[in-house]
Amino acid sequence: MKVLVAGVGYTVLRDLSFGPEMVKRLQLLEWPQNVELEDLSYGPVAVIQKLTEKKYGKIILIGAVKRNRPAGTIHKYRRDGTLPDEEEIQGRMGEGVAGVISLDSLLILGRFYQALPENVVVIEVEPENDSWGEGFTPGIEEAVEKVTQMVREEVGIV
Amino acid sequence: MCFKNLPVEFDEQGKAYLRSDAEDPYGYEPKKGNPGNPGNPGPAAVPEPHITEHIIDPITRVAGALGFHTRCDLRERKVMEAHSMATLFRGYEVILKGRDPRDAIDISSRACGVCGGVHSTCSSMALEMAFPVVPPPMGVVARNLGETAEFLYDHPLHLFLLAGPDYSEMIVKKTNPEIWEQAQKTSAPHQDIHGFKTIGEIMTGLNPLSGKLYLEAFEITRLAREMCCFMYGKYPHPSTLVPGGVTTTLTFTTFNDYYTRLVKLFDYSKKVVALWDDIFDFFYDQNPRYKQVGARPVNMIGTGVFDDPDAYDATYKNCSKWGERRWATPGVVINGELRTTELQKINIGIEEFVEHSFYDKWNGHAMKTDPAGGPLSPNHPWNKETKPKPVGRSFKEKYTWATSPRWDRTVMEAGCYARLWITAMAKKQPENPYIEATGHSLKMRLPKAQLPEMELEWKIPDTLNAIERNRGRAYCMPWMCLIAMVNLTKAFELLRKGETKAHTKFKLPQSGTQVGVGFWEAGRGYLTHHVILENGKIKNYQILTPSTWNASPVDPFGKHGPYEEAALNSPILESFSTPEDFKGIDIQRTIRSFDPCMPCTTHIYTGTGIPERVITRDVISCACGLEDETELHGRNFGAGF
Repeated sequence: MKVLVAGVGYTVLRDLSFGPEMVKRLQLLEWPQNVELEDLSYGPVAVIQKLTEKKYGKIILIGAVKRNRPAGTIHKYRRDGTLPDEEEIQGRMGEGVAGVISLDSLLILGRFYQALPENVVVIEVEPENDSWGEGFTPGIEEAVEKVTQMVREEVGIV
Repeated sequence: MCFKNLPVEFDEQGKAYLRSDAEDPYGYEPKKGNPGNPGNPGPAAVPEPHITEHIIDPITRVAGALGFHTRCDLRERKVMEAHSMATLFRGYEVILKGRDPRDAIDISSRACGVCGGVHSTCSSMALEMAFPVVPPPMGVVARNLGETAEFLYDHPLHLFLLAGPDYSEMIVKKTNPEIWEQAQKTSAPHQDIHGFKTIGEIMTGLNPLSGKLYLEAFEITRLAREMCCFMYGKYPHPSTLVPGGVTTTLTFTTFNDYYTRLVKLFDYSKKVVALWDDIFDFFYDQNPRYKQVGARPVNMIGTGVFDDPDAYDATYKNCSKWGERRWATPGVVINGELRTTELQKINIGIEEFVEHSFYDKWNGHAMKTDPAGGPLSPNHPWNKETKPKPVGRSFKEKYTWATSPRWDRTVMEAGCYARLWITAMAKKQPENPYIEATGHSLKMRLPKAQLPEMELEWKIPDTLNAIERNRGRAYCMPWMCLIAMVNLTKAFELLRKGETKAHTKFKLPQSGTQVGVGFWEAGRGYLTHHVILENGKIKNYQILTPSTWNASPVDPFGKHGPYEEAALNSPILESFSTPEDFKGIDIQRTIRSFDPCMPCTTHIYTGTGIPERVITRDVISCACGLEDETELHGRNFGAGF
């Protein structure tokens, strides 16, 4: 089974850059042959086109999303397939066409266009600093190792 | 006369100089107070609103977020006030200071989810001018082919996934039911090309998420993305675009694969033009006042794009010469007249102002002249310093992270239709069998594919408005196909001659000062990257994007930016019986017609005697449909996992 480990987010936005930055760090490690790592930080149309071509059996998505949890919270979940109403789906498509990169939009649009496999695991962190700049705050930096371990477990490296 | 506001003149050899009588040539006194309504004077009796009550918070914490605030008089059916607000600072210019210049290519390309290739190319070109290094012809051709493919990806997405729904059955039925009624009874003039019998059928095809045309655009862009990948190795975020050309391996097979996809886009582009001509002509027939929706003066700027490999030498000294050999001509149009097509004149006329932006003014004027001796303003990007200062949040003071770029102190608009317009007027395109600029139109001869050979002609419209922006974008589709075809022919010619080298090695200067500028348009038009290197590191890096021109706030001379000006000029043609029914479709069509490279969030305040309300079309950070598996606090994470 082909497995994709992907980061989603913007660069140079401190903790919000957790997804793409994690992919860079994970690429330095050794992975089984069936595991691909990629930065999916681009428009949802291109992401959906890519995912429908590649047909992964499992996708692990990593990112930082503000949801008013304590900073540094790591939240791993699977989507249950529920979609918002069509007005919101179109809103997210419009945003994507206008250049916005968003983990939520990728999940919603990917599900809507049936580009995601059943087995999608999301690992997200709650950011502390979401302004421009480089580097994570200490709490988020601490999460790097833990998220790395979670990814390794998800791809079967114990 | 090229410049009417800046004291810049030219000697007999064409060399720019500052007029000797100009004591403080770039000085100005900022206009104080809230600017008026320049495009639509309206009834003076309308009371001034307390605008500060309606400042909008950032909607999303993602790049390029846009808030757009208008105040409408629904009785008079007029927009009274409009303010465009970029709600997030990305700070790329600050991040790039002191770094290895090569980092700029990758960092700038990731500024956006859809414009990665254009930023990489523009950055590479700025650096190749600074280093200097000249790409071989195949490198130039590969860039052209990659970029045409990128635009062929961008234009249908905007036309059918972003702007299209505004003209769909689903929306028109709600906002103008009388037009929907008529659409179902009106035959589509170009049904033989696109296959839709009535305008109503086209509108149904434009329905978001499920419409036939919406879904077709979603799928067809896959071809264009694949074409990008052939030239760039991967797309988005290509890693093969570098100073001196491209590092992709290019063979006959690469170009053949590109061609097989291009042929399919020839037919698609014929249909796109026919569809949008039918829709837009129908809207004008229903109500000629649609010509006023999103209208503003014909003031446009473009850097041009797609170089002639026989002309491009990456030097600033010759930039006006190689610029005029581009397939899309650089230029400035003011009040419908072509002011210049020379890149040097375009460059020296640019200034960026920050009076209404969240930045501090800077004091330096290090570069008094450009590398060719032309005078530069202290507000020119080469002299600009990015000094973030988010204070004074009100429409009278500072209200956006976007700056106010101006050319010759005039409000300018950027867009793909601007490059079509400028190219058609300039008549400077290299000779070719397919495209002819006539001065008042652009004629395009599309070869036979599944559909027969076809001649299309985009005529310069008498008004620049929401409809004509989108119509121009539709005509850019066949235009891009033909520019790709010409460059593909050139690529095969180079392959036959054995000129397969697509990259020239460069040497990074380790000492001294070097300057460069990349002039290379994005899908949305004008784009420049200005760079100054010192001792092998970036001393200053400034990116000026099309959305900065278009979303710009009021300038120090009291003039609104293009989004604001276009919204202020728009009549409200929507049908509604109560303010609660009002959806603001004419304003949304106006803003979306610019192809904003950011989420456009329109907030419309309706006052003046009618019950007040704020319509917020926003983006919800949605966490619905989540099935919890684990929730851990990072700092306590450990046992059990």
